[in-house]
Amino acid sequence: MKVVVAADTVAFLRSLPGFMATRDGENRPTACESILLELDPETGVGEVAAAARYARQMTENLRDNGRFALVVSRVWHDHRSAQIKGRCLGVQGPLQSPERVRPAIEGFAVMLETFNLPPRVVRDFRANEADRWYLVRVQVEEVFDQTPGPGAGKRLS
Amino acid sequence: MIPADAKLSMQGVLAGMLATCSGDGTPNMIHVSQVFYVDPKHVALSFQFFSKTARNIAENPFAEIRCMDPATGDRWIIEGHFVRREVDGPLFEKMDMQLEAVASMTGMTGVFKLRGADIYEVLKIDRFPLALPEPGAPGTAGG
Repeated sequence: MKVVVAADTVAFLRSLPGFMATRDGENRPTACESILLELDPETGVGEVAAAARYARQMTENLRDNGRFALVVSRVWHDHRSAQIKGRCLGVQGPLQSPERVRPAIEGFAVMLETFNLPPRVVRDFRANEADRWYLVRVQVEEVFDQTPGPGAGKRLS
Repeated sequence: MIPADAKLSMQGVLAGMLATCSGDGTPNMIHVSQVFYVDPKHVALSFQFFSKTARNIAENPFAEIRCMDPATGDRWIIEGHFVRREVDGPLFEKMDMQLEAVASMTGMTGVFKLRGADIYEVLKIDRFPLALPEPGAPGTAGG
């Protein structure tokens, strides 16, 4: 099953780091800091960078059943939030890819700076672009608005 | 057992994350406004409007909860098991008051409304530092 995703939603989902949830064979969920690198609005095929340091059993889960959900939220700003769900098509890595993860990391770092957190937190967050990431190819099957309010949970695609 | 140094991340100051999974195996992930320390074995999460999460928890009580230390950015990752929802009492009142303050500060007054304090038993908790390991440290390239 494939979906058509609005270009504005794709742009939002790519603009900040989010979290990808997977689950094991007993339906126990786990999550990993992740960034949507690419998403073809016409086919719903995309690529997610998942931080290897936080991945734990993520790759085993994806190989076991492939199910994932990725949420991105401007929780530090206007609370806009969206979630995509679908299946994993393949996993590569982990490898370093600073130039690909940098735009989303920088977008979040700028928000952190406005939240009066200690400067070292922002500095350490930016440094994560040099970390290793799994590259997860995905087929998006559903898109949801999760912005708090009456429209929360509404299907977008 | 929740370590003492994890409590700073459980004061409802910064939003947390909650991963759940439906009975048919579909994961779901949301931000939660508050993660609150209850006692050495339990945390409370603000239940506001996430109906999908409520359905998931009813079908499958296992969850993963994340909160961030505001001083270091370190993540605390909790494997939790839903125990119960409190809709009144001292804990609910405390979280409700704090959520109102958060809503006021973030322009979400009238949108953020506490419907319950969801209590989770902490099955496992681990700290994941935000800072990358120093080059040469154990587990790093060349270390």
